[in-house]
Amino acid sequence: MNSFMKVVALAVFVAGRVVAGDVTGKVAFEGTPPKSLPLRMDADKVCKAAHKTPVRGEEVVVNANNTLKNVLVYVKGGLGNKKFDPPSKKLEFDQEGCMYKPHVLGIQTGQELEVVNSDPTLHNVHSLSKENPPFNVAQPKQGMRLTKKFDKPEVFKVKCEVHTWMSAYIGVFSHPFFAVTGDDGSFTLSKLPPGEYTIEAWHEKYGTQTAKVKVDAAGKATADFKFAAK
Amino acid sequence: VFEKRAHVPIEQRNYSTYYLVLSGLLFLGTMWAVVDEIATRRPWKHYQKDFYRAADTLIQKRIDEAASEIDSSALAEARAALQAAQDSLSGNRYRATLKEFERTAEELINETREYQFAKSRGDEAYYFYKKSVHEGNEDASQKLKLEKEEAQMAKHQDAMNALQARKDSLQAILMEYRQNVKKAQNSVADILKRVEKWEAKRARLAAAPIQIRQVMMLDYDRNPFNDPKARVDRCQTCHLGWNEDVMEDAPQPFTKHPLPELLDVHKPEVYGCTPCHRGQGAALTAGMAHGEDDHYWENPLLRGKDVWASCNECHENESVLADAPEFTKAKHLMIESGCHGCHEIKGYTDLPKIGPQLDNLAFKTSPTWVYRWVKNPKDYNPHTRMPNFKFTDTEAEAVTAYLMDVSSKSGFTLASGKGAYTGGNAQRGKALFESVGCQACHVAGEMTKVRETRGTSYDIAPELTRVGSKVNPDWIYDWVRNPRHYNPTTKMPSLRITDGEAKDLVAFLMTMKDERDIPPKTLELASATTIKKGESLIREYGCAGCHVIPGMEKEGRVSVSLSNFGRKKVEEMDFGDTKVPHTWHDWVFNKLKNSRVFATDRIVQKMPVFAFSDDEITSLRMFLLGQTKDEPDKKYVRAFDKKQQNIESGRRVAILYNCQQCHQLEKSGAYLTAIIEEAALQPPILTGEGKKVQEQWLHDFLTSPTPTGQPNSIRPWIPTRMPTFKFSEDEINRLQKYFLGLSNQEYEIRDYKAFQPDPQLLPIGKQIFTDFQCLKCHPAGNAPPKNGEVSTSDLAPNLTKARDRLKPEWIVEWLADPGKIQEGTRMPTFFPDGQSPLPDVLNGDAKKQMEAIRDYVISIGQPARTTVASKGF
Repeated sequence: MNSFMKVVALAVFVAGRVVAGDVTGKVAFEGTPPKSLPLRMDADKVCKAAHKTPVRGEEVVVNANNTLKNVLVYVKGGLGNKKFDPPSKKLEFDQEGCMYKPHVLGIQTGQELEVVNSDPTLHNVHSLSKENPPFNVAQPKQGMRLTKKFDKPEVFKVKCEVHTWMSAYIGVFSHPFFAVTGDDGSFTLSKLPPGEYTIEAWHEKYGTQTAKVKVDAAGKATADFKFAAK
Repeated sequence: VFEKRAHVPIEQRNYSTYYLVLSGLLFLGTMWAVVDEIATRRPWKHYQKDFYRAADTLIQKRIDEAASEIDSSALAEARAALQAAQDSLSGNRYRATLKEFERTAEELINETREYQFAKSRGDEAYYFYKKSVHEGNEDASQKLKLEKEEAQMAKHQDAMNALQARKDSLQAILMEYRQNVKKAQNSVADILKRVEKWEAKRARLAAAPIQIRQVMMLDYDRNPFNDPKARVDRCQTCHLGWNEDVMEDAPQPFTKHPLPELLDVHKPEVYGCTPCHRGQGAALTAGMAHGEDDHYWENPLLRGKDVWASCNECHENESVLADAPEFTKAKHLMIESGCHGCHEIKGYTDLPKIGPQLDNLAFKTSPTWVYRWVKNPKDYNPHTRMPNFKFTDTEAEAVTAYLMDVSSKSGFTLASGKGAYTGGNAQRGKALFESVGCQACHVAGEMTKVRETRGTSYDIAPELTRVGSKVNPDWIYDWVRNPRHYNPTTKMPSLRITDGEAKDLVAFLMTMKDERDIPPKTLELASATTIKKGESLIREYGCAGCHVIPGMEKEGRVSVSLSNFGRKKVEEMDFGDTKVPHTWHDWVFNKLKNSRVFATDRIVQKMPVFAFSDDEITSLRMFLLGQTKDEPDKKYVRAFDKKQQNIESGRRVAILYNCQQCHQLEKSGAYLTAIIEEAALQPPILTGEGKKVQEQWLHDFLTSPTPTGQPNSIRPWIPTRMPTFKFSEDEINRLQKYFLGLSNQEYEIRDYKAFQPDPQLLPIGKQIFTDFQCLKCHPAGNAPPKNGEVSTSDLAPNLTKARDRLKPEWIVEWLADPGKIQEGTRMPTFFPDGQSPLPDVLNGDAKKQMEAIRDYVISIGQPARTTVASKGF
């Protein structure tokens, strides 16, 4: 191999590694959101005492800028059979004040999830997973921790039998390109290699929507979603 | 040429050309024979070679995979450690230690020898000294000598002790070195374990000879004179991969067997393949072995679904084989379709009739409805199991006339009289219908989900979509309150509905009308000749095979026995005027599709027309294929022993009452759960019930599911009700043995009251019970829960009932992993992976902690109630 070809090869190699783009967007909400009533936590005085002001359910949370919170946005198709190593970083899934934190969480297959009980009361974490083996573990003491890993991609519900108002959703993905919308309804899927992708936005009440995006060499793309009140 | 040759004298004739040609032919013939013998007629050799080649490639792939998964740095590290450990064996310290060890050992030997010498000398002196004493002239010098030698011995002993200690300590050092090597070797081997496993497998296959592989059972079959007949099975000569993991996706004949769990019992290495798959075991070419190229071979290979037919040779008495769902499905199809009503089927001759008894029919519905029903049942209810007899108008009229005539004389009266139904709330009735469990058996209007989940072409109870046009409200009111009043043998249970609920239900059901435009029909039912004609038609067509009909009590089965139908020859089958291909399979398929298809202008066929789906037909056909008198020698058949008999006997009760519509039993059923989304609200899985509940409790529960009068007493929050089936003591007894048998439990009398909590564990159990906050969900007393102490949703069974209900050992098993016993249960595990969250209690011993909880739970039970007379145990 002459030195010119070496340079070319190196350049291609470096370009291939460096070029990766971000998909950004917003999840808008249209219409009048359903009334969310304050949660009645009378069944457990520990829960009741944890809140000075009444808490509301998190099923539909519309932000001040008319965007929807707790929408799980992820790459649905376009990655082929590429494999991604799970990050070594653990994710925390907390039960605090008899609420799940976060309410919607994305995690990669093989990545560790640490379920924590920060309340001085009994909680049980019951996963209603279908692809992954379901679990239902009690955490009767404050500070208890449980580590879980998931092998198969799916979105499933987690609930607590003791406190029927508690629910959360966990999305498991075989890749790192997912995000959950926060208080401004925006999301970023970062470091996507160039290519064409199907992006899906999932909401627990309003279902899913998809969009197609093309991440080019410049490495930027946008995908906006809009959910409407039912 | 020959003439010319005749002039040559014999001595001068030359035969070498002939010899050459003939010997050439002989040579070619021999070569051909050899080639034919070795190659052409031994196609299995090619298969074997192909197999070993394919297996080698696949195993190589596994080896590469295993190798690629090895953490190379860990391996390098382990190898370096091994090298270091081995190197240290030739290191200075080890060598010096070894040398010193050897020297010490030698010194020890020397010292021991010196000691022995001193001891011998001492013994000698002692002898002479003693001798001199006995002779009366004590020899002091010998005594002195003895003392001197004893001193010597003591000195040597000390030296020996010191040397031994030194030797031991040196040996310990040497051992440590050697163990380090061993440990390092193990950790390298550990990393390479998978690779080496595959390497070993590969080497084994590479060394396998090319040869016929056969299994022989000398006495599996019997010849017509009932002498043992050997069975030779060479299938594995070509089907080499049946037990090889790598061959899972390989093409035939090398594919791995798809159901290895079945092979654990039906070992192909012992029994071969033909007992299940049939075929010609001794043959060595595919066509002959599969039996399809051999026109005279009566047992060709069973293809597709048909393979399950052979289960029946050994399991004819069993209606469920957990690992053979197709077989189970076909048997249930046969039982539910009532084939046994007209045909004798071995093992199923004592099943009850599947249709309702008709002795009170005239009080239920109108003659015109009965007429239309008899004419074509599927017109009113497309999913009924009642087949179509294709009666003509006058025949249907005659049958109706007889049925109305005999049933009008039964003297039946409604329990609350006419006009008892005074109206109800249809909307409430609908809600009740939807929630209480009616849908487990009945379809009504749009509520078809359970039927779809069950997946059969027929329903096991009447569809109610048009019931409002069939019966009158007073009759339904009477029926839903107590079905056994109208029909003492009905399977319809009581759902313990109140009079008010019954009225609402009636109101709802009466909204379900037949909206179609039905032309009026005037029937002449009173004439004696018509009634007489109806009677003979009912007798001829065997209506009494499914229904109890007055006057027909002594009727037998009207059709042929099916006990050897699987062996019926095509030559014995009549194909009528059809163009149906002349095979057994085609005949049966077409017959089940349309039972009158082979009728001709001379040959009348009476079998009614069913409406099976094609899938059901192929299942039933498979069942029929298994109806043979073939039976292997007893020693090859699992004994249908007492335990199996008990299970099957109870199973038939469960099938009869359709328990599986609601409950999962033996891996199937629970169709009702299709409309109950939340697992915790679904009827419980009953497969482990025998392990779970006490016999006395189950007896009482089956007799009367709610002794307290609540809709449900164990889980009052579940809207679906366990019905009261009014089981007989015999049926309860059979169900008990069924559940116990399924859980591998003995049928024995146990005194559960004798189980006393361990007084030492009890307070600990109470503490754990408090720590785990069990009361958050479980009420444990008769007092209403205090606010804040118990969840308002009252989620879990009241534990005061546990003592009289649960088997103590089950409680521990349940606590260990509730989800394993009852899939989807709300009860979480407090001991994930068998670990206790309380390390300070009972040394963190999870099992002991569970026992402590169990003891406490049993102690909070109410005082033992008075024992119900244990009938049936």
